[in-house]
Amino acid sequence: MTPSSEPEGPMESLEDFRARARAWIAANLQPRPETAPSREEAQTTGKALQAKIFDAGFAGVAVPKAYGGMGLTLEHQRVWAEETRAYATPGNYMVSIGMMLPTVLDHGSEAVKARHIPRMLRGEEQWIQLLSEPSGGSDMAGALTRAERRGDVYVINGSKMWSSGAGTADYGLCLARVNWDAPKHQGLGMFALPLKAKGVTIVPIIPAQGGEAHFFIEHLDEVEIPEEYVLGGEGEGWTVAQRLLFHERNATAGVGYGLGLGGGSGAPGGANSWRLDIVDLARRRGVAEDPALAAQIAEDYIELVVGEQLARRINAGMRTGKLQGQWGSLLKLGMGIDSPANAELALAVAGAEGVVWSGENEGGEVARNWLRVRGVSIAGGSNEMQRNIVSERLMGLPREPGDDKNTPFSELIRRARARG
Amino acid sequence: MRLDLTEEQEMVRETARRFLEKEAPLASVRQAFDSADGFSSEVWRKECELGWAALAAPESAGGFSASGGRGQDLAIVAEEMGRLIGAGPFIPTAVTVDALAQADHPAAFEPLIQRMVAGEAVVAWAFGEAADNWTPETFATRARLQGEEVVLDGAKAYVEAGAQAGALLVTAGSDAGVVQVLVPADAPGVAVVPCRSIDFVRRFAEVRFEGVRLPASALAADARRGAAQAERQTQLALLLQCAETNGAVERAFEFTVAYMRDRFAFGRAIASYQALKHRLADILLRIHSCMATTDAGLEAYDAGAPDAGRLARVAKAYVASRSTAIVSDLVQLTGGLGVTWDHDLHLYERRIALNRAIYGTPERRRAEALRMILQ
Repeated sequence: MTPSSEPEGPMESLEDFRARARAWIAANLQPRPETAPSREEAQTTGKALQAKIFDAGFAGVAVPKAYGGMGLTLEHQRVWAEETRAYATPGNYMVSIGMMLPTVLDHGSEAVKARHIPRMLRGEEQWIQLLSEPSGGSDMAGALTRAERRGDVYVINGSKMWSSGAGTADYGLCLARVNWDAPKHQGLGMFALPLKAKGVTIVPIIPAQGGEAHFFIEHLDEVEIPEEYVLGGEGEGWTVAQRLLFHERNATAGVGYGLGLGGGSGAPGGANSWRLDIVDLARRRGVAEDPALAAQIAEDYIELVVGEQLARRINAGMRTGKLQGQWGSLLKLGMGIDSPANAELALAVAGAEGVVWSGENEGGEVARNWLRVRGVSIAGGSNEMQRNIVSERLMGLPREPGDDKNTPFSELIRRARARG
Repeated sequence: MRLDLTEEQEMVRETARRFLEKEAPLASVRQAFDSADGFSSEVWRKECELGWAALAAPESAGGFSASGGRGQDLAIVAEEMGRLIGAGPFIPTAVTVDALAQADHPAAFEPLIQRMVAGEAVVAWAFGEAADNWTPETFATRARLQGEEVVLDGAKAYVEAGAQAGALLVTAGSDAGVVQVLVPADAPGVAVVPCRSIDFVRRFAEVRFEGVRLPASALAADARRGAAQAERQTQLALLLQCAETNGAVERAFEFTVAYMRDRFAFGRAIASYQALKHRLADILLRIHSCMATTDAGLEAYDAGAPDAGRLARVAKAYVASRSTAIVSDLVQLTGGLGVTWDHDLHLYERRIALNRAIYGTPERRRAEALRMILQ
């Protein structure tokens, strides 16, 4: 649907936009801090900062003006990202603005777009995804959460899991089953679900390394959703989910609508946010030239450098169109393989000092990182799922045989129960 | 290879690929297995007519550029040669043309460069020394300046096309530091011993120098610039070698995947089994990583960036160690056919194993990269 209020006139050139953005940025943003702010701090300062950027007219560079954006292109967004690189920008909008917003833009009803996209852009509303469930994450189309039509509304019952940021979010895009007799991919709907509504219970998942919860479980009990909050029509949930994952991978790979929404220090989701600096660690421990470790330290350093070089290559390929499709998966796979190896080497370099320390808050970083690092090889699509995507969708290799795509979902459930 | 080549670069690539497929297919590589020289000077001359050597030369000596990035242009050809186990002395030529063009008195070498660009003369890069020594500061080959003459003593090893070249660019130590000397192959005191290599068509030689007397004009780089020149050549050689290896790995990967699509076992294509195709996904990841690090190294080389030496070593360390692991896995995925003489995989294994070791092992280059960042 094309918004009717889009004003006519030539589009601002990249150069003009760059000059205008640069002047505003220099006058209004702070230099990027050395270390990333805490999550809590990022929430409060990020929100004020996002509102400031929105009010100045620089939010949603590639989002139509009718929805509060600038009505420019993703190339203009790249310029914005380049110009803000050295500055502190809101770091907690990658998911909401970088992934959910473009999905809503692609598939949302006019009413939802007009009402919510400006709020997302101003940081007043945080949107997240509600896809995985306690019973399954990789086989996302096997969702058991139920959406029933009752009069003008849909009523949702079930549980979602591994939802990032649900503790503070306002809406979640929730994949739920509308038709149990259709094959699994065809019986799904995607619902914009208000997380602060009656019937939603949010439970934090404390990670193995301890500390604050990043992921949550949402129990959904008779949550009512108006019809216009279904994205893309009742049976189109899988199509919308594919689009959402496309935007997610783009954002993770640093292209598309998520470009430049990194904020903080370093790019969250970038290859290096999961890595420890082994050379620095080895220096501090005085083992950088230990012959038993030197080769591994050098190898890890080389993986670090090459990982960044690979990201630049894949981004160039997507920009020039030489690479079509979900090439972010290849980068994700690389992170999922190399980061755990890095964490393990850090254990070797840190030795006993990595696992025993004195004092309350000092130390333990290396060991806790090792506990946490498996997250990158599982969250956001496990290494094994990325290997399926790479081999089947990027290389076009045949799928493993199976009739789950063409069988009524109720029949798949009957079979699973008969086996159990 | 970069994913954002210019139109001119794409044309160089296309032309090179079509030429090699027509004039130097794998059948010709197999035929050359028993030949003394490995490459055909006739084919090499034609390759030079396509401008391959000219890519390394300045315009004044008949050179041309497809992009302004000399290293990046040359790497396009190197990668295409890797895809078909190319035989010609491309990397030594690229390195020595560049070296002579960058010489202290380049005008003196211009006629020779012009003949090299035309494919009429080959100058070998006599760099490494026995016992796997690729570090110029420790070379045992010595140059002494005596009046208007340079006297050369010592020995070089692993010299590609050393027995086929008309001259050798020799890197030697001197009292004042590293120097580079252009030595005619037929100069008195030069002894060339041909060697065989694991590769089907790459021929190497040991070259000994006993009191070889040359005019001072043979100095391509004196001690003021010798070490920097040797480093520049090392970077280019490493990066072009990486590009060649990348081409070889990519081609071997392509035909292995094609085979796995066609090969049926237990009722379906073996490429459909996750146990196998997941390995292909990992290999694709590493192939793109190899290309990414090579291209990044070339970009730094072309820009003369301060970290160019470190990035060239990162590329060599990564590409060389990954490539042998990848091609070895491709053999496993090909099954019994992959270990036969008639299957082409071993041609690729051979080239990749050769490139792993020549110009310094990944282990050595990796250690150098680490030293560079620890300093």
